[in-house]
Amino acid sequence: MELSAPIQHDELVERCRQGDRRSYGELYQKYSKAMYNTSLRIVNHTADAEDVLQESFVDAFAAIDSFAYKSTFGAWLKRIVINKSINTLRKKKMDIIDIDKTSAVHVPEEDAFDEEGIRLKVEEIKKAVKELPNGYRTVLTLHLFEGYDQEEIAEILQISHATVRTQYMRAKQKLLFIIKQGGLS
Amino acid sequence: MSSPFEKFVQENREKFDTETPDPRVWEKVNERLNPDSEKTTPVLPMPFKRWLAAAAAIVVIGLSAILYYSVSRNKTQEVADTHPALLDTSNHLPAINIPVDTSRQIAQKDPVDPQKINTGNQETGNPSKELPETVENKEMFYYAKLIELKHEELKTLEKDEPLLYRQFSGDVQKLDSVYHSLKTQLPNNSNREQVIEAMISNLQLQIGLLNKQLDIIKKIKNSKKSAYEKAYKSV
Repeated sequence: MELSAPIQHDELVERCRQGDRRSYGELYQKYSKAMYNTSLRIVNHTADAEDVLQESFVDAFAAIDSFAYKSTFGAWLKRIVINKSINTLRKKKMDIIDIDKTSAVHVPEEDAFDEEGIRLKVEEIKKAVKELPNGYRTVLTLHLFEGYDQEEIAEILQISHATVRTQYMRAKQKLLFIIKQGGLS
Repeated sequence: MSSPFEKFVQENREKFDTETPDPRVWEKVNERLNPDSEKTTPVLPMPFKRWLAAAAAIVVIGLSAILYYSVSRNKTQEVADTHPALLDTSNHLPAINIPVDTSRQIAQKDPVDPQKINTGNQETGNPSKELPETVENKEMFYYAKLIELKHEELKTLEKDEPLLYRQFSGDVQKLDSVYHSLKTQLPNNSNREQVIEAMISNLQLQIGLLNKQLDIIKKIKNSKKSAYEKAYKSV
């Protein structure tokens, strides 16, 4: 349904296309924080996230003429940020798919954690996300925070749907486990 | 589909975006946006200022040179005009007379004769005493007043931009010194109309220059302000 709705032309984007330098600044101001946080959750490193942010905006501004309103500008930009963030992880030879040996032995039932009982504080979740291994963190972040569905994540990461699903389930369980541990200590 | 955990995240989604990127990221992006303007945009005040100051100085020097030259030429012409008989006779007289004649011309032509300026200045403390009450006189007074006001306005710059102020006031002074030398010529000059005209156009030039300078200052202040605001916003 959302896809059928036409995406309104963005005034600010149009002004950038006309080469208005001030609008580039405004566009940066508007999106930089959200994009930075998105990248930071994936790369888990402030300097890397800043590099991603810089490269993403430079690329987005350079390619702003090719932006065709197939999505909102924010969604388009976010996709650039996510791709660059994942590339950063890959360059560092970090596995995108985590093979958690222990998880195969005892995948805890989701019910084993009383989600309601866990103090779902934003800070706790944020802290726990940082502790996740790269692959788990990426999949979890893309679904939980960025709202991509399984298929989209499979396409972004070039892995199968099944892998996305299992990775996400394990990532979430591990996250809840970390939060519970943190809460207990 | 979504558990309470996922719901919690969705409901509080924007609270997770707490980190702020370093402002230097934008500076780098901006630099790479337009490599040509790399130097002009982030450090706009300095090169811009210097360029304009240099341009203003060239304009002033050029204009004052033209003005000076044209006025002294008028004088020479006038000397020639008022002594046609002398020149005429000199043609018929022996050659010895000619150098005397030309030296007189040169002496009169030279407006920067220090003695003349000194006496002229002593005489002309107040232009109203010296000049008759004419339309031109009133006009000149009006301009002088205007210049005075603009000078005061310019003076507010002195604290913030001492270098620029010195440059600016130096430029104006160059014009002003031409004005004063014109003024000293006035009592001795029979062609008052032309000298007064030159004086008025000199004052107009001064006003024009002061206006340009004030414009430049305004621009610098604005760019400083916007740079400050930008920095403030991005913090």
